[in-house]
Amino acid sequence: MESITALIEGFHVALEPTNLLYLLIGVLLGMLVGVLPGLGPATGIALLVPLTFGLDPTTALIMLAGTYYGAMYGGAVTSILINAPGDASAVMTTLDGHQMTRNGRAGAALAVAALSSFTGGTIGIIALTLLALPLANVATSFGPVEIFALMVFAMTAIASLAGRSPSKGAVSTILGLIIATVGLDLQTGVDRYTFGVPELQDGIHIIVVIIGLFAVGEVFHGLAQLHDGKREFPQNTGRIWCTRTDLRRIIAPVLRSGPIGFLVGVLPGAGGSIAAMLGYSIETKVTGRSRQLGTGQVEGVAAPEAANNASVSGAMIPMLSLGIPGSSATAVLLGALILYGLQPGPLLFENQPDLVWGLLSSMYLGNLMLLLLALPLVGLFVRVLSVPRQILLPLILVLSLVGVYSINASAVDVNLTIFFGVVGYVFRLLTIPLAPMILALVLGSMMEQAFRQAMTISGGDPTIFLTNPISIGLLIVTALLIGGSLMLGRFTTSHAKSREPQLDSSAERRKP
Amino acid sequence: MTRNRTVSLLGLAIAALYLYATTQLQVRDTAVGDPLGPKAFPILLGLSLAGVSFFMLASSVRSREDTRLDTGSDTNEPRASALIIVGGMALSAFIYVSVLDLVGFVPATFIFALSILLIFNRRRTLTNLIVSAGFTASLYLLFDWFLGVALPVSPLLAQ
Repeated sequence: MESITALIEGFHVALEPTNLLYLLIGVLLGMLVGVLPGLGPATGIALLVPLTFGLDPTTALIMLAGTYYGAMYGGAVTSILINAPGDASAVMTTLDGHQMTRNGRAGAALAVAALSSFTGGTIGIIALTLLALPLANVATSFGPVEIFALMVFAMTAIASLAGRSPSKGAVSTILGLIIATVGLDLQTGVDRYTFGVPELQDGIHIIVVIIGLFAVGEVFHGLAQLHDGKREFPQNTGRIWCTRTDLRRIIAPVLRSGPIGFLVGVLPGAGGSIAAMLGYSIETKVTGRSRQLGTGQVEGVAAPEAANNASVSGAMIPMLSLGIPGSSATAVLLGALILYGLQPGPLLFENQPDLVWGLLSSMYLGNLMLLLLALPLVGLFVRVLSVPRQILLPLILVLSLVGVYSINASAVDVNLTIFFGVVGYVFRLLTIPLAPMILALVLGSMMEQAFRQAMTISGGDPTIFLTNPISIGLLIVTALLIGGSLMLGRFTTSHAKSREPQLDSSAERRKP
Repeated sequence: MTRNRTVSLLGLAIAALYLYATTQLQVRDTAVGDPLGPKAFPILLGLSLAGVSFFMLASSVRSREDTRLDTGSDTNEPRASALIIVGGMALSAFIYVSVLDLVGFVPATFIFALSILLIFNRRRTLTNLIVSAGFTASLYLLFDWFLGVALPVSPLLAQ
């Protein structure tokens, strides 16, 4: 097949020493950047673009792609170790990943994340090789109606599955959507909820909310607990590798989530975060241990990590073939491509085959490099945990605030981060899940735009969502999800009541 | 007050505020082709939030299961002092931000890090000093030198 021949030639390009070297640099820098709270793949790539100006465009893109993978793994590392995801695509990894850390199995979680990322990424790249051109055509046929229905489905999935209470998940989701409405309305130019603060016209930056809610909120929570004299949770005592059982358990989730992640990545606008969401939600449905996902199961780490790495490849399709970003990180890559004087689009495959296929094959190599680097470095990352929490937490706070400041040199941003830190603390007290809010914030404006565009097409007639086949299919599944989780909720209540009476008495004793 | 009830009341309050703020939006009539305008989606959201909150309130009133479920094994009923601590930290962070441009990155960050460490890592003053200095220096190197981000320098020092 023509694609495979082209890919092999691409490997010749990717294996050139210069390109290999810059790939390595990219992966390392990406991991470094990804570990820093708030600096995710998109920000990491953006920060490195100026460093690529002297390079050949192919080499530059290879380095940036390496950064992409490295940063995604770095984001997973902080998700697992300190419950502070580097960006939205790492949010799902916090659910089981951090719980595994609390259970003393941080090393295993990191190893599982690396392996799943690698395998998912490989699946994605293979799929990309085979499907690049045909899939680009399907992606363009997703209009606002379908996109809106997809987002309704995705958000319902995450609201009902993250955490024990679907209602609180719904509250978190809607709050995220509300925050997304802050700023200048794109279609009418109306200032919404900015209260005269000019910096708010661009809306509230997602990084600000992520760092505030997750990192700063975690610091507040941890320090408050320390002050209260509560027991610190155990340092990692697990092996810095995962067991054979773990390996066996993650095969199926990875094979399920990889293709799903890839397909999600292809959809314009849907990137690692939705891929991880879907991978995780489907995992909760399929795995027999679904009741326990969220308590530190390896499947809960493997699925989102495989999905979000596979989505990187998927997101490359609309980017390379249509010039439409498949995710915020690919949006930055797109900007870089244009900076180098290249025109993304179907002609790119024809005019610059070396670049395109060199890039694609270097993604495979970058993925491999990540795996080889990550596992030895896992021990280093785990050692971060041995720093006493009363030193580590204040440092994370300072790092977070400085990190946010480094984005726009905006005091407003940093103040918002602190505000969301307080919100994050309150959420933790009230056991409101954090992930839905972030994901809703990422997708909020897209969702609203899709909604309004759909309404514009239909002239204000909401039944357009019901007459469109893809849309109604998604909405039916959504309804089933809601019904299912409500029923499950009732089941969990009575089940928990009969199983854990001791908890009540111990809680009673602890009340002042 | 149980958690669910707190959440639902907060939700209702936020929904009310948000809907009110939405009615205050200044909309021009020149929306071409967009039949709904910028208020439609927010209204939908506000009503949804109110709806969910109401649902939570109603089910928490109806079932006494709510109270028991809430106090899970990681009950963190905070003492008032914990809330004050968090408030204090937030306040000092706000102060840090406001003096950042005035005092410059390095001094402000050093003092901020030191102050928090002194509160939570008492008795180890030397460690705190070393950690604060080292960390501030590392951050400076990382952001200013390595990543090329412009960090504030005090106007007093820049002469």
